[in-house]
Amino acid sequence: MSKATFTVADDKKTLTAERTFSASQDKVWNALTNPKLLAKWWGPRGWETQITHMEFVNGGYWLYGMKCVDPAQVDWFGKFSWGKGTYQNIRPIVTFGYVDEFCDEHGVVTPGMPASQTTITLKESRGSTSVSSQTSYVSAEALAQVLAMGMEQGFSETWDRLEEFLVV
Amino acid sequence: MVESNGSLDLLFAALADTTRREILAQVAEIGRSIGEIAEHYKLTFAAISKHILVLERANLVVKHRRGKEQVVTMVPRTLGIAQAHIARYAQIWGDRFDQLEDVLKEDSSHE
Repeated sequence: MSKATFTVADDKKTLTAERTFSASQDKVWNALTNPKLLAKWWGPRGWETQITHMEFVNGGYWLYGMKCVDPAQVDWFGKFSWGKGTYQNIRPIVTFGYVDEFCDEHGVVTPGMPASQTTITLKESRGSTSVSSQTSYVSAEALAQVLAMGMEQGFSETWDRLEEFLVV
Repeated sequence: MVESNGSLDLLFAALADTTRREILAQVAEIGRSIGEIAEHYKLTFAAISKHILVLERANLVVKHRRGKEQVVTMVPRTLGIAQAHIARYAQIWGDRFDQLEDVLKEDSSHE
């Protein structure tokens, strides 16, 4: 088990999350692409995820609904959020990409909501497998909207946080 | 609250460079002239000015006139926007990875 690292790439406008797991590449790939396993870990804490459609081929998509089951999340408790990921660039057990969009329970994409593009890459070394997730937003407007949605909690301007951020 | 005029694209591009992040750290607490900033680098004054211009376009710094010099100061709010986004991303993937770890463990206990 290792902790995750998060970086802003020096050459790209993308964010990367990476972590190494003590499991074979096969097993990790399976957890990422088998809907039964994916549903167990995809959603945020306090949310239950159900996957109602999954076609893991280029151009195919997975449709997932997440329900907030944590009463402590007052604004969200009992609410659903639906997402659709359209697969691309699949290279079995090494990498795949998906475009993630907000949608309704039928998979109809919500107009005007931000889309993001993520590439997942696996690498096995001595029995452990690293997973990296690199995300970029389809447009600056999309990123701005995601930011606006996550902004309600406000943001800190302290030096500590700045330092935490700058040392990447 | 957030202007969606493409400024965030500029923001992430501006931050995606080690020299520019260092310049930003230099002007975070006190304003410095371009000359003062340039002292720390082997780069030319023009190259430093160019980096500062990129930071300025992203609204990460502002320039004021102080006598004959221009003083560069950070705009903390803009960095806060980038920081909040990264924190949110880190939280989502941090939680996902923790849960994935549990799934992988569970999976091996069945074998």
